[in-house]
Amino acid sequence: MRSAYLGIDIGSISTKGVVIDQDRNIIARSYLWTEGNPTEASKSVVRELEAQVAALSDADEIAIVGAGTTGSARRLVGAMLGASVIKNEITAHAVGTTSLHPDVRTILEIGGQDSKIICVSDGIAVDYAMNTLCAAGTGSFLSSQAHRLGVEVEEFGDIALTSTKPANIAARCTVFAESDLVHKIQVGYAREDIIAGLCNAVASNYLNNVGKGKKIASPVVFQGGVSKNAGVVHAFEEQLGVDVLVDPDGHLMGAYGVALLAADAGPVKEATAGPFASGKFDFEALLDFDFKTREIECGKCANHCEIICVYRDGDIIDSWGNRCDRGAVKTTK
Amino acid sequence: MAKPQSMIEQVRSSVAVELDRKRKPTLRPDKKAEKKAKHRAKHHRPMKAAFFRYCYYDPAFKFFVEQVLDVDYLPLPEATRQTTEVGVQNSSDYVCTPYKHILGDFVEALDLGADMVIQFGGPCRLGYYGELQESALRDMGYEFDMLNFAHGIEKGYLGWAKEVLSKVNPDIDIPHGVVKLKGTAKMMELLDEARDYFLAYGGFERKRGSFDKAWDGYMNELRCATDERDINQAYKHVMESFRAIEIDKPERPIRIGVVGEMFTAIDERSNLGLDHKLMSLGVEVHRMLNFTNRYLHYNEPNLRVGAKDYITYDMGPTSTLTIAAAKQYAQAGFDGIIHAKSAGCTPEIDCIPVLQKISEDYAIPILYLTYDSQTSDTGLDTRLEAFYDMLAMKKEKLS
Amino acid sequence: MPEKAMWADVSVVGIPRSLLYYRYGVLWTTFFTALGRQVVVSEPTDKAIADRGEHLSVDECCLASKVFMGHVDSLIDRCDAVFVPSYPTAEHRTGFCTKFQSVTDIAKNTFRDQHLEVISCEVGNVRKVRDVRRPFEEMAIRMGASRKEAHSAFKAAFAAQAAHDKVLADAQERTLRQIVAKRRAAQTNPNADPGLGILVVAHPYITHDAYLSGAVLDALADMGADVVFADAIDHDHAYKKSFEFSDTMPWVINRELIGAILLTEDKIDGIVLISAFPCGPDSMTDDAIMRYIQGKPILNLMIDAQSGTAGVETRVESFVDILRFQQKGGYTHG
Repeated sequence: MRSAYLGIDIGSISTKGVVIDQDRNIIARSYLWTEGNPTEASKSVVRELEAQVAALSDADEIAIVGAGTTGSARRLVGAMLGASVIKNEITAHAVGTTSLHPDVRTILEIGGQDSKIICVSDGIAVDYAMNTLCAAGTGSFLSSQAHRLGVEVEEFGDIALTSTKPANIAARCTVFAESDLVHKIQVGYAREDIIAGLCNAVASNYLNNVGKGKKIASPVVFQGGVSKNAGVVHAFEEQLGVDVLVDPDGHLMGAYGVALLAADAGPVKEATAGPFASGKFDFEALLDFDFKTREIECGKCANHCEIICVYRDGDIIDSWGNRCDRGAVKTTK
Repeated sequence: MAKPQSMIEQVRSSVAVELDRKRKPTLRPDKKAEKKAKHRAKHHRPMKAAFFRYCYYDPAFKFFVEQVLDVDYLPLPEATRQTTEVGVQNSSDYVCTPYKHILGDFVEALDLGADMVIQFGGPCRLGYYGELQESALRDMGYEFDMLNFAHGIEKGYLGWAKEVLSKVNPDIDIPHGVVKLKGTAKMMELLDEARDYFLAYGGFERKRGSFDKAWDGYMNELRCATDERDINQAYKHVMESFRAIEIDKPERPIRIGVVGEMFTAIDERSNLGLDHKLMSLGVEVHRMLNFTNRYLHYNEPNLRVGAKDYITYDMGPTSTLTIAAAKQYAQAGFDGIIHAKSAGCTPEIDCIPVLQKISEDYAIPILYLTYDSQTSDTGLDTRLEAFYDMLAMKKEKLS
Repeated sequence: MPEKAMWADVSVVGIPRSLLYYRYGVLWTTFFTALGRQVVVSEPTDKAIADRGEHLSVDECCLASKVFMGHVDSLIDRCDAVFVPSYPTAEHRTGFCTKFQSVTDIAKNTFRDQHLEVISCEVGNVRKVRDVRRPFEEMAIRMGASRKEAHSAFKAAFAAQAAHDKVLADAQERTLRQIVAKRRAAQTNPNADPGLGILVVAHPYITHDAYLSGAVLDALADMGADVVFADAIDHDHAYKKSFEFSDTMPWVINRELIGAILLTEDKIDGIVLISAFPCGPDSMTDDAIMRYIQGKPILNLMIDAQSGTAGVETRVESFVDILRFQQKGGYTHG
């Protein structure tokens, strides 16, 4: 029997999943839109991973004995899967990337709603920064602008590369960028120039905001949804003056990282219920249950904490968001 | 956080057309109100005075109001989201966040029946808080007095004493007041001292909540204190109960130093429970910044000498403290530094280029946190967790 | 102890054309020239300087201070040392935004790797000549001047600045008189142009930096407005007047601006406030002005390098339309 580990990264836009074997190779991978429903998206992802693992020649030999979750819905899906590791996405990305690219010095990441930079030295993350409140220059910003221009965000990169003189677009703030964009469209700039300008703006906004004051040393790895956009990659290479590496598995790095962390933690032990009850991940058990989340506003003190409760078949299995003892929810685990 | 377009437009340009003058162009309350206040101070002194909520200094404020000013103190309940919302609604959009919090507190205090609110004066924008808040509150229709220590600040203690005598209570026994003022300072100092211990050990308690329980007891005991002896007793008790708590502290725990702006870096409501979040991750927290070190024993030139490789002049209200503390933490081999400030805090923003150099020179990671009234709790959790993970992994690999 | 004449071999002094240069520039340049130094002032702000500054500063800084860093950067290699003085915050009622206090050390740290030499002095209360003279003289001594030379250099510099300020203040007075005269003429002669007097209220480093506020001033000029600059109105007079508005306002420049509004509001037709995003002092004083100055329409503009000029023009135009409409309304109602 070979043990394998599951890693799921549930982001605001997309849900990613991998299965790794004990030698830390990815043996199954999946990528789907979250579409505002993290539980369903992660079920679909797990279903697809299951199918991929089952299709392997030595499928009977493989047993998934542990799982990790990361991303914005990590707690919910973690509770659902009975995951042994629930980690934030920054750590997961750092772990995943440094183990695939041991020599990496800088990791740039632009996702759906946030962007981050991680500086690595000798395989250890030594510094990182995340965007402040504003969503300017992230994936969701790009797709809303693509919508405005009437193009698919997937085509963005290729169109951008055809531009010879990119327009100058101010992208420090979403709202200013939008009004600037409208203005440029009305003045009659060519579409490819505007798109290339947007890509440049995303890169320079990132470097001026998230990357400010950080030493960006080569080799540089660029990942996250926006890394699929060749225009932004090109803009980064131009502004940094170094090659920017985009891993084809770059979008899976969070899932891979958390799977590695799950592998480090070892097999799930002593699970009495949930998918790991038998010691081996049981997909059917996951589907059998009905998961629900409910937001409760605790009225026991003036804080009015919003407590999120996760129910499995009507039983509360986890809750969070509570700030004091008064609102503590008893789990029926 | 993207704001709706219309709102930003309003901030970016707004027009006021009020052609008939409805009031005099002055922030000062009109002469009549001033006279009335003076009259009231002389004959019927104000019944209840309230402070804004500030960190854990509430017992000291209570002591000050009751023992020094000799009027009733109105304690405020825990802040709610409502408090902040009221403050935000009635402030200009890009004024610093503490202003909004404090305004919300004052509204709440006045709703609860306070007839005097107390505001500090101080450097930077803080010195102007009081006047603007007073006018904003009057515009909202409240009638009250404000004891604003920005008045009389140029004359120091004498100016303030005059302000207090004329506005609050002309019958204050001055020698008695001075003694009690010393008591207030003592209480501040002992609060900070106990807090330092709390921050350093609170993250390692075996039984969750033991430190919090001891702390709450301390606060309650201090609220009942009437003289310096009571204060010393309370301190003795809390330190005893702190030491009695069973802890499980690793030999080399993760140590993080917190630096930043006077309000946000300390006040747990503004920084969304930074102290507790760090402690629950199992961190030994140090924070040189507190009332004692900034006001009672602040020797700026002396402190600046310690950081003279980085700065020549005083850079702002707490800047020297921020930089000197960061450098000390770096030299002492701390694992990381957290810099917390409210959005738009100019002096602390100006510290960042210096902190970046310290981070570079000592290879110590610094997490920069900017808070505004919309900062999300989960976003903060993610950042802190990731910071902790990074420091922990680094420590593990390097040792 | 610092060396006594540590800046003796500085022969070319660079001065960034930004921030308080627009307030004390004449004093600074005259002072160094009088000490026999060559002075290089950076070029007026352009896009390259602004972009460079943006790149060099922390994202949350205000626009004006970002531009400042760009100016310092443009002076590297063009001079032996850059002059960045520190103006005080803690002086009650006569302080500056902490930015002006910390700017010396920000510049030193930002350009540490370029080994930028910074000459500076720590100015005291700007409303007391002695508090300004002392630091400047001390600085001169560190530059190798004798006490006497230092003294006379400061004397010349101070006089030059005062003369400069007076010329500007007189110019504002003249414009104000013109505005009043035009309005009077229109009252007797319905065909005459009543004119339009606008008071522009902004920190001097905004008003007089064409890159920052040029779009606003151009739009006003295009629409035939007579512009009076609040920052140039007699400083002393305006400062004293400001106490009628507020007791505790800490910033000297904001005080002068508010005093200028109070001094001129009867003579002008409208007020335009311009702030650089996100200016700390203005975040509070604009609120107070918008609420307490009544009787004149006010346009409050917040500029950011990003804002472009299209939006500004629209806003100024519509504001001027309001004023003209109001003037006309005044006529029909008598």
